[in-house]
Amino acid sequence: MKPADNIEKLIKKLRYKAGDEAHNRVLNNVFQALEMRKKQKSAVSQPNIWRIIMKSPITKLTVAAVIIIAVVIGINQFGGRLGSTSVAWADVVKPILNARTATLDILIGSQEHQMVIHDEVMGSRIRRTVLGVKHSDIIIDLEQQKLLTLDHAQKTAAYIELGGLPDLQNYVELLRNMILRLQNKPDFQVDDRGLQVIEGQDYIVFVAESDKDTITIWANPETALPVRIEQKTPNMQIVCNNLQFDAVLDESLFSMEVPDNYVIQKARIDFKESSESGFIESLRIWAEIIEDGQFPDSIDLGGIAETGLKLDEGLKRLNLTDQEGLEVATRFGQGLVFIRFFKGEGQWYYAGKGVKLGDSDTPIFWYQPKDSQTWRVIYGDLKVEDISPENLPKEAY
Amino acid sequence: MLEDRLLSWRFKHGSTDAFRRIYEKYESDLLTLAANLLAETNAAEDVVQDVFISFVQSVEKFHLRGSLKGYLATCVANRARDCIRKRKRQQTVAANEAQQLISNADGPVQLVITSEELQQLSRALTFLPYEQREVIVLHLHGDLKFRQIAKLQNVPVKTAQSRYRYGLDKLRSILNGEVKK
Repeated sequence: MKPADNIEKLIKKLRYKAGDEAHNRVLNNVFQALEMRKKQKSAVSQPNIWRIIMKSPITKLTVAAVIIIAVVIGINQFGGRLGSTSVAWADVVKPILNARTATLDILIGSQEHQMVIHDEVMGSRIRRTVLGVKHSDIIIDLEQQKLLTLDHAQKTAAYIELGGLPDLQNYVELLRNMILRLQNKPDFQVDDRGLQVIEGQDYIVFVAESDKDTITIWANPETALPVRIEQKTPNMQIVCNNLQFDAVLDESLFSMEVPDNYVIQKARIDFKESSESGFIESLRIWAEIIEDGQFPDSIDLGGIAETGLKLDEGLKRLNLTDQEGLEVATRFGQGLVFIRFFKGEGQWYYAGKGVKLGDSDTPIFWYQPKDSQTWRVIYGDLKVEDISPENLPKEAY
Repeated sequence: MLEDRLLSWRFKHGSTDAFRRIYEKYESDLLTLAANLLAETNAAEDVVQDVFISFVQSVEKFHLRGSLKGYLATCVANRARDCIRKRKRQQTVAANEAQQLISNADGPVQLVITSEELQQLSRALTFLPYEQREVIVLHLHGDLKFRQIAKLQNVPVKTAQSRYRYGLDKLRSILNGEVKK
């Protein structure tokens, strides 16, 4: 056969390769350029996620799910030491202790940027809707540590497995365990504030306080059913409204089955990797994507709640595949988990409000790791230093 | 495709390993493109190096819309054109280039398969007008569609297709002539 007979096939065989020497030479030169480039970059000019856009509704929902998980963990972080008992208190907490199902609204953060979650709870499953995330539901199976997000407008569904989390409780179980724990304390005391009128309605009000934590319960004076619970800690404020216990709920609401004709995606978010470096990456994503180059005013639960609404806008500027978007969301979530788990293992302070990403002189976060004599201080350029207690920045919340 | 998007994304976020993977995945493809376009192996090596360095330096601005290979192939084509323009002696040097390709059989960049048949072909390629050679090489080695090549050459798609067809015809003629010799 002449070479001209199958010319295209022959041209495809016309391939070249570099010898070892040439390969290494070029590779070294390119890597030198890469290293030089890295040296030229400051923390601010590190890979800019700001320009990247995430389009997929599924991924957006996944991001919402990560934030919601952080919220669940945030709620579970609450603990406290309360005091004294009374018949009225017992009456008020009785429905909480015995409830099999519940419906409630959870309000997180300040009124201006409030995240509102509506939960329907049955056993270890929660059906959750979030104000602002339209046409979507999230079913949370706490026992299996699994989420199902449903986007009814796009007819899409995503199963998200959660790894590396501690046992999670629904809000009713949390309240129940907290009350039992408190009541078992010998110095248990409750401040009975008597009747208060709110929007024309009478309520019995109880306030239980510990060092820095406060729980206030409003209950119907006739039925003794709690209708509103407010929890305040230095890093969190949660209000539960419209509480109803033992509401009649259809089990199908909590089904983990996907309706017919929905496109299904699966993902796994592993939180066991949550670490200081993960938290730092979260801060970077927070500053770059959510706050336009500046650290957030707050990283408490209210601050996290605000990301739920702002992140959606920020992510419109991203352009990743679902998988890549999920990676960003996961990294962000892992960092949040680090901070949510942290309370109870030591103290932490945040002072990033108004600080720009890349500011190498300003400490934005410092914490004392468990059993450590020194503190870890993170600066605006995200470098970390070990600092002795006497050299710590001024305390800030 | 997905792997490339992830590699690009990871590289943008600072992963040196991701860049190494990109480099090793496409080094040979780009060398093949450059060597066939330029008909000169040393220049091909330079072009590939320049393309990767440029990629490294502009990674923050990089936004992958199509295939990574297509993007890099287009970069090689642009660099090769610059190279050709600088020399400004495309036609006159062609014969010398062909000689160089053959003489570089033991050089830093080599043909993967060395045969008389392929050496004839590589020599024949250098006798094509550059536009025809470019279409053939980018289509067969860069996996670029005629639409993409036409955009690169700033000509209608039909012109790119014609250049491809005429180029192949001419190669056949050259090779038949050489074989007859």
